[in-house]
Amino acid sequence: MKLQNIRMVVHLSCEEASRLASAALDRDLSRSERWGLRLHTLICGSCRRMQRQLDAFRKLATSMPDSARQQIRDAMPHLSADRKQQIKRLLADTSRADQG
Amino acid sequence: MRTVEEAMTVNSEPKVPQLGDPTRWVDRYGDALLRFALSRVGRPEVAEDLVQETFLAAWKARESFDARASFGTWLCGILRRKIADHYRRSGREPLVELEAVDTEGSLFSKRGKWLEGASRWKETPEQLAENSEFWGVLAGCLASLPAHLAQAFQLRELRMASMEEVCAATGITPKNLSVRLHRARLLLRRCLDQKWFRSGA
Repeated sequence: MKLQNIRMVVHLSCEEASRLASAALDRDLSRSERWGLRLHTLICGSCRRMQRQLDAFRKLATSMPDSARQQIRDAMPHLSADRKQQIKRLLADTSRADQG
Repeated sequence: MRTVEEAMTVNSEPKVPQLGDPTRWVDRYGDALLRFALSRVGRPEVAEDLVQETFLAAWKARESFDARASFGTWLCGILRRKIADHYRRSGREPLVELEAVDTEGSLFSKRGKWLEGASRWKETPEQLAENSEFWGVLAGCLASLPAHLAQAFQLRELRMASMEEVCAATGITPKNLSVRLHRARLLLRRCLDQKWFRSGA
């Protein structure tokens, strides 16, 4: 490994480790990245826990029931009823004006 | 799992010339457009205005709707242009405006150490997944995230194939996405820690 990679392996902060643990869910880490993360989590209990829990998120998502999907949809932002009415009124006025 | 193409086509989508009653467009597409706008623009009032302008512009331009594309995608395209216009008018940078709504605060000290401890998860993911109360809490936590972070998580993890996915598909760079996923995952973890794991539910 190159010298700067060795340095990185030894000096990872928890923030950097968390970035790598997250990235590992989406792509393959390089060898120095993997070593850096592994060494850090060997000595840092907080980051060991973080990594386990990030992995658990992935498992959660894949075992998500349909009812959960609906719950998540229901909690997402919506246009208020008033705002929907306002937009519909505007559209109705505009289409009437076009025909009139 | 639905493909992106399937997700793009809502059941019985209007095709020219039967675009149908425009007020029904609001019921069918309004929320999805709002969520996309929120993920691109900081403030909810601005996002709502942009959605309103999108519907009006769509009505005015209805003759130009090409039946080969899906109506939802077409509306998306109009909204994207409205968002671009918004940024041109306001002179603000999109990323700066989004960062301004990410008020969740720091998770790490200046030296990169954790600011808060995290509890152990006593249940396995499989056990949690069976618990509808847990999903309610997770839904609430997702809803509390800044919209662009929630969107990244939903797209990547929950595969909530939807119109937003189509809108967002060409929106951000992989590096950008990686940053958002990192932040979304850690913020969600912290929220779950506070609302579920720590409270011993």
